[in-house]
Amino acid sequence: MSSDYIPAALTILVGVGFALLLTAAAKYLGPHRPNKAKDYPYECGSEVIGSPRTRFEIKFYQVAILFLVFDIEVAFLYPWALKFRDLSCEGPLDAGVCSAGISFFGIGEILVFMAILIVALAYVWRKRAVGWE
Amino acid sequence: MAQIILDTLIGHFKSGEIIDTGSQHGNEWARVRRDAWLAVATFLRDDPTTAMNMMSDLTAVDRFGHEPRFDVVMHLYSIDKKHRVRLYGGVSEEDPTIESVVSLWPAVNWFEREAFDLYGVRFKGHPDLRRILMYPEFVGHPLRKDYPKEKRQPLIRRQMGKAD
Amino acid sequence: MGLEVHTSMLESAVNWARKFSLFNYPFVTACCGMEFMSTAAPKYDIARFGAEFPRFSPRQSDLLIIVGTITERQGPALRRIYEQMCEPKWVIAFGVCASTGGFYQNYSTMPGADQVVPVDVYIPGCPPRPEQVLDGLILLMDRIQKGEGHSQVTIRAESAAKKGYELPLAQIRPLAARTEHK
Repeated sequence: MSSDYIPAALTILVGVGFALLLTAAAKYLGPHRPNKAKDYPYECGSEVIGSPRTRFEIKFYQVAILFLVFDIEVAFLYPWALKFRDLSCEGPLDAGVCSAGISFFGIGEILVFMAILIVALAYVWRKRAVGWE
Repeated sequence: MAQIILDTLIGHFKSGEIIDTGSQHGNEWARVRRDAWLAVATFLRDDPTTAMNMMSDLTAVDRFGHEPRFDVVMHLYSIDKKHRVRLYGGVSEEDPTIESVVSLWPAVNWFEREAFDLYGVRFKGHPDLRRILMYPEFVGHPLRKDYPKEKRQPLIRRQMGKAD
Repeated sequence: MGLEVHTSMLESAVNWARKFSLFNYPFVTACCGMEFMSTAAPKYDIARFGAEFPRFSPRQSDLLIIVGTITERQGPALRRIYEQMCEPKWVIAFGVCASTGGFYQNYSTMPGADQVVPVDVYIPGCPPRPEQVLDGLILLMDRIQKGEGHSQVTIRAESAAKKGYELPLAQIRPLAARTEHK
């Protein structure tokens, strides 16, 4: 149990609490003047035509999921990049600059990681899911 | 400039469908008998000499005091031959109907709705003849010359003085 | 005779905040929209007065600016949009067509938007210059501060009625924006 998480918990508490406080204030302190038009959906003043529950095209979902996967991949590259220097440094650390060394293990491991995802990308590309149509 | 259209028309229609033709300021026009409206329009579209493949405008004119009262005016244009012609179709007040040319040029759909809405000219064979500019509760045809110029038919008014 | 406009300190503060943070709904129909855009553009900058945020939804706005000609057919739509806004709300009639019908006097033009919604400030002009528009906006802001907008008066009348006493709805005469620039 580390006390590093207490600030994070506090932030979450304050954030959620503030939102709830404002919602409660609006509900109990704010005016309440309902009328028929306020409950009616907004369609630039005219009568509602058609239903809002239409089917959306699958391509939106596709783009979102693919983005998510490859974005997480990039997110994993960042800590690797930060640790690569420590992994590969053999020579003396001269004012924070490493003068020698390159870790093949580090490169190899990240290439394996990326290769798996590149195979996935190639599959998605061939299946024409990266395009818009 | 487009005299060839008028010559073709006069040459083809021999039983009085073309009542009159003329040219005014470089614009050729032909007055067509009402029951030959669709036939003349079809001929103008399909004949290779005239080839009027674009319906440029359709409107109506209220010639209050003349017989027939309404004139349906249609402008046709040929994109290939680059000539245009104006057709007049006289429509009387007692029977304000004329054939619709929607089957020839689909774009004329809203023009005919406008002529119906503002003048009351009905188009036989139009798939959806209803008001387009005025609201459905409106009574009368506003661009007729006997519609009072400043008569309003308000749809909604608020109660002045009371809390809004 | 007239409405006793006693704004308390709190109400003054709240009105001050309201007048400098107007979220407008530009109900633009015609040519006056060009001048509205000019007023919102950097040269005449309506953002100086805090009113730069056009919210294209009545639920998120408190100032309805009726820009351009209103036809009879649009009447119910405009009325519904006005009703969908939350109180307190204000209305500016921008241009002569929205104020009185403009140069139109025919079968389809409504003679002024105030036939369907209560207007607080009328800005004449065809179209009005941006300086006139800002003048009208400043006029509206003064009225908001004093609590004289139609909606604010109605709210006060309703709360008075709920408490049991009658508050006469004063004939608040809308002030036209000055046309000459001093």
